[in-house]
Formats: sequence, structure tokens, C-alpha cells
Amino acid sequence: MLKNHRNSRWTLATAVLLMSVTMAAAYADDDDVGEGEGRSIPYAKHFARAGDNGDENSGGSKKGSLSQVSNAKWKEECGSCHMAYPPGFLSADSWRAMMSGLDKHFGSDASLDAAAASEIGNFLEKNSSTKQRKSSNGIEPPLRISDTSWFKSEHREVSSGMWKNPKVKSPSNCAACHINAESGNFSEHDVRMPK
Amino acid sequence: MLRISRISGLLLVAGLSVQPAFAETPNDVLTALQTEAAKSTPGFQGFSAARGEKFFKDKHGNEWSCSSCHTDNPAVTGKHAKTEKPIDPIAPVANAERFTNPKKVEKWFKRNCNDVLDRACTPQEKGDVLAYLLTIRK
Repeated sequence: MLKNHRNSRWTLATAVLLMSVTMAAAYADDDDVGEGEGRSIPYAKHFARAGDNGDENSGGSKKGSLSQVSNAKWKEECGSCHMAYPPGFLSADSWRAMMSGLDKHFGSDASLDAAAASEIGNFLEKNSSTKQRKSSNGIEPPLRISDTSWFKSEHREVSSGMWKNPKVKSPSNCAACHINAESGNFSEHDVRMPK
Repeated sequence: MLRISRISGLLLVAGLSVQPAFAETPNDVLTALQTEAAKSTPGFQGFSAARGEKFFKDKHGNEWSCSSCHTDNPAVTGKHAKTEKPIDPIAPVANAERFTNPKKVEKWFKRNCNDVLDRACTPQEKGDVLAYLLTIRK
């Protein structure tokens, strides 16, 4: 009886061991296997609810809400070297051009494997700006968000001195002023100009 | 006896559940590189941490070295040379996640070698660099 008991216990331990090993392998693979849009995190919903408690921008205004969609692969890959810029900041044609030139991405190799490129490309296009984001310099489609007429218009009140502020450095540095940029909130209420 | 087996069984299970879920260790990655290098390098004589360090800090006639972003001390947090976004330490001693996912290792060697050298790195070069990074102590 005692022996039987021991045996069953070891069988259990072995089963758990096998499960742990299997799960560990699955976890590691998780990183590289495209998981489809089903994994998208419904940030938009989350922020809409938060907005019910006082955020004026969530009640139908586009400002501050157009950026609150997410996808784990997009966040990880596009957010490795810089902030993961929201899909709604460019039109679909810009994102297509961006994704087809990742091996020379603003001077760096940012190439992806086919599965990741496809998942991220779909996510970007699906959530791209519904309004055409035209280039301000005549080169279409724009690849730099800060080259769009929309970006320039949105930032028309920002002084040239502020752009040169060492805490800002570059128009690509959203979080220098948009304190909640990383979570996709670009509401005017969440702008703090550095001193 | 029953109690001992029960305790050891529980310990085994508990021990497994806190294991970090990394598929491989940096040494596994190094071994794989060694196999690759032995095949592709005529007269392959193993990896050299000293050569890896030199390679890591050299600009190879271009604008950047590996240390432009990862700093001269691979055990500290780096900073992207262009965007200034912080980069977690590259040395496994300071960042347990490093060199545990072969696909990730391949992805970043491909990108970064292109950025620094304008070409892919050889298995010998990758192995030298990893051998160097494995000598780093905090």
C-alpha cells in the first residue's frame, strides 16, 4: 500500500514535471509565433470607461482616443527602439510603405520575420487614420509622423524654442510633453511642457 | 518514508514552478554557435572573449560600435544611440532574459550587425561576442 502510494505520488510529480517543461517551451515560443488580432488588448474600452469619470475627450471626441488600440506584438517590436507610435497617426499607405522598408528603417535595420511583419502590418492598417495624413513636404506617402500636415497643424502653437529644448530634442519624443503618450493618451489635458 | 517522499515530491513540483520559463540558457546558445562556427570556419579554434571584447567596442570603420548603444560596460543599462530609449543590460549576469531565446538572438544579431558593420556577422564573431559577454561580472 505504502509502495503504491509512493508510486502514485511520483507519477503525479512526473506528470507535473512534464507539464512544466511543455509550458516552458510554449512560453518561449509565444514570443515569436504570430497570434493574430485576437490578442489585441481592448485599451479603447478601458479608457472609455475611465473617461466616464471625467475625461472630456472620451465622449466622442477623436482627440486622445484615436491612439488607444493595442497589440502585443506591435507594442513589443515597434516599441523596442522607440515608442510604439499609434497606428492612427498615419494613413494605411504610409504604414504599408513603412513595413516594406524595415531593413532600412530611418537608418537602422528593423527587419522582422514574416509572421510578425504580417501581424503588425495588419494591425497598423486596420487601425490607421481614416483621414488621409498628407505629407507637408510633398513626398507621399509620409513616413515620419512629424512630416505630416496634420502633425504640424496640431503643434502649431508650440514655439520653435520648445522644439529645441534639451528635454524635447526631437519631435519624435512624444513623451517629453505628452506625459501619458506611452499608454496611448495624447489628450491636450495631459500635456506638460518641460521647463 | 512516505512523508519524505511526499515532501521531496512537493519540493520537486515547487522547484519547477519557480523556474524561469526560458527555453535555453546562454551556454546552450553558445554551444549552438560553436557547432555552426566549427562547420563554417576553416581551422576553427574556439571562441575568444578577448577578441569578442575588441569586436564589441570597435566601430569597424563605420559610425557605431555595439557599445554605442550597449555602453562599454555590458552590465549596465544602455541607451539607443539615436532615440535614446533605454536598453536593458546585454550581459546575462545583469539580465537573465538575455540569450535565452535563439530566435530573438538571431533577430538582433542580424539587425545590429547590419547597423554596425553593414553586413551579417559570422558565427565566429557572434560566438566571440557571447563568450565575452559571459565573462562579464557585475
